[in-house]
Amino acid sequence: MPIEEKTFEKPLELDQMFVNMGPQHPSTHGVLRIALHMEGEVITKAEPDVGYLHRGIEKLFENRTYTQGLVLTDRLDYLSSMHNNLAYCIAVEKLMGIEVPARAQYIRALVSELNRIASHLIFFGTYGVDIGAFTPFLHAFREREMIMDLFEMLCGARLLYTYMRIGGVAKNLPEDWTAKCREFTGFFPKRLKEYDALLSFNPIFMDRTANIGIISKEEALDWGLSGPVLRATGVNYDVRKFEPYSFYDKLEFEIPLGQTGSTWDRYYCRMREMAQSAGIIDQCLEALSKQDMPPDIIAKGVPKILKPLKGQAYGHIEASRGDLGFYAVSEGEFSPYRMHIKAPTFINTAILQKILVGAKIADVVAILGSFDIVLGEMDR
Amino acid sequence: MTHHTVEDVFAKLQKIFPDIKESEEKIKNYPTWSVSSGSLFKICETLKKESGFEYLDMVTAVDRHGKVNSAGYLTEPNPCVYSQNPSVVPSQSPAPGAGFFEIIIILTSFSMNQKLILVSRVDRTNPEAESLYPLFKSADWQEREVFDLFGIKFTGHPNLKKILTPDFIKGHPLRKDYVHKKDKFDY
Repeated sequence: MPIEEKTFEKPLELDQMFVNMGPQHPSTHGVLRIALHMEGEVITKAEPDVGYLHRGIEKLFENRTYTQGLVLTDRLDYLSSMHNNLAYCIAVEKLMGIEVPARAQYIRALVSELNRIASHLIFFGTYGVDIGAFTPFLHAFREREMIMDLFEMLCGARLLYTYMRIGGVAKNLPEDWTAKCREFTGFFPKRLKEYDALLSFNPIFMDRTANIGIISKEEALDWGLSGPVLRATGVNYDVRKFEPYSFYDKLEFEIPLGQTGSTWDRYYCRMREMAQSAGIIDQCLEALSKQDMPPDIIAKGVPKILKPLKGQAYGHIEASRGDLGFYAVSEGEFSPYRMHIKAPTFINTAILQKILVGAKIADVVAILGSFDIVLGEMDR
Repeated sequence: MTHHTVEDVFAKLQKIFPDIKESEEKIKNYPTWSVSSGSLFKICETLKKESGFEYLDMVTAVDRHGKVNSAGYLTEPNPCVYSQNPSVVPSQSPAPGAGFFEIIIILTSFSMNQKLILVSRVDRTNPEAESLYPLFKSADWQEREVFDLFGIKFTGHPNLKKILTPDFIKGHPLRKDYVHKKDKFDY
């Protein structure tokens, strides 16, 4: 929404100031606008303003078939398309009662963990740039490039994959893919230690981030946060454990939790999550290499043109940024009657209007960056 | 006092609110209860304070106006425009005043490891519901979104204004009878 005169309840005093941050601002990670009311350098009121990237995706679903809708999901959180694909497929599979074969389940877990690492690496790189450290960005993109190569081998795309299918996945793993993936998981944990030395425990970085943007447990639950933002406050909620999907109940991993809910905790939760993801990838590769695994990658009997019976379903997964859900309503037609996307960044960002109050203007970028927002998903 | 199963919670709630009942159409794999819009707030309050449903996952709505004939979309040059196309047989599209809105609310209890869905019907002519903002802050933006896209007014919401669509968009795009008015971005 453009700036309106009426957003000022009363005229500003002489020592007050209005700062308009965004929508074209390099550190808002997209077209987010925050209207800041200041007294000196302290923020007295913050109003995040979203919707600049609203494309009406929920409406578009209603005029497309279920298969066509899959392509729209990539465009939500474009840094972790695999998760969007997966959440959508899980919702439609629930609606139609489709059982996904074991190989496809493991491949789904495998690629979504790879995508989680790729997405968190972008966070790590850009967050460093937000704070003023440029080198981590180059390191992060070097490792991300390896994942992009793996995805390119798998489905030909580097950003918007559309790799999942309703009932399974599009293609089996290519021949030399497993070896290349193992190369990555062998290489990556060492790099994580490097990142810690480079940025995580850097005293300047810690001073800058450890005591700002603090969210308490109660606040986090009240505002409905999810993902690393919630877990940094110490709440143990991860959909992979809460309601396991894609054989996550057969895989061993831990949920990294933060303690104080500060900006640094949110950052470090993601760094520790990457190590867990690398472990999950190894386990998936191990399971997929077993000889007795049936070769099916897509459920038998999934029709080419999907026409679910009348019904409703809600499917949700743990995406890179939180609890991503799809709520699908079918009236027995070729296209969904209603498709709602429960977007984690949209709900997470609402708390900014609370925690930015009392912060210094210099910390706004540090706090905002730690939420790891993607506007494609927020505005839908 | 905490309960061990969601059935206990339901039995207890039914004593206080007789109008709560199991929904005919379950939202798949979750207990789905249909409640009246008048008691929605009170039920959420009871669930939060007595049964540990302290986390609001999702607030959204569905327009149960009936399926709009898609021929109206596809033959127009702008695929998002639903217009009165002469080739569309009027009897295939629902009557103007037909249907109702459904408000869908998903709550989570961490102590019971359980998700729960509440469905509440709202009248379509003058849609109004009580805001959940006093109970859950996460309702803030989600209710604004529902207000923006469906036009359901949430009473008691402190800042109920449009959030996703631009100011110049008139009407509520996710309503089934929404007719897009041409603006400067259409050609």
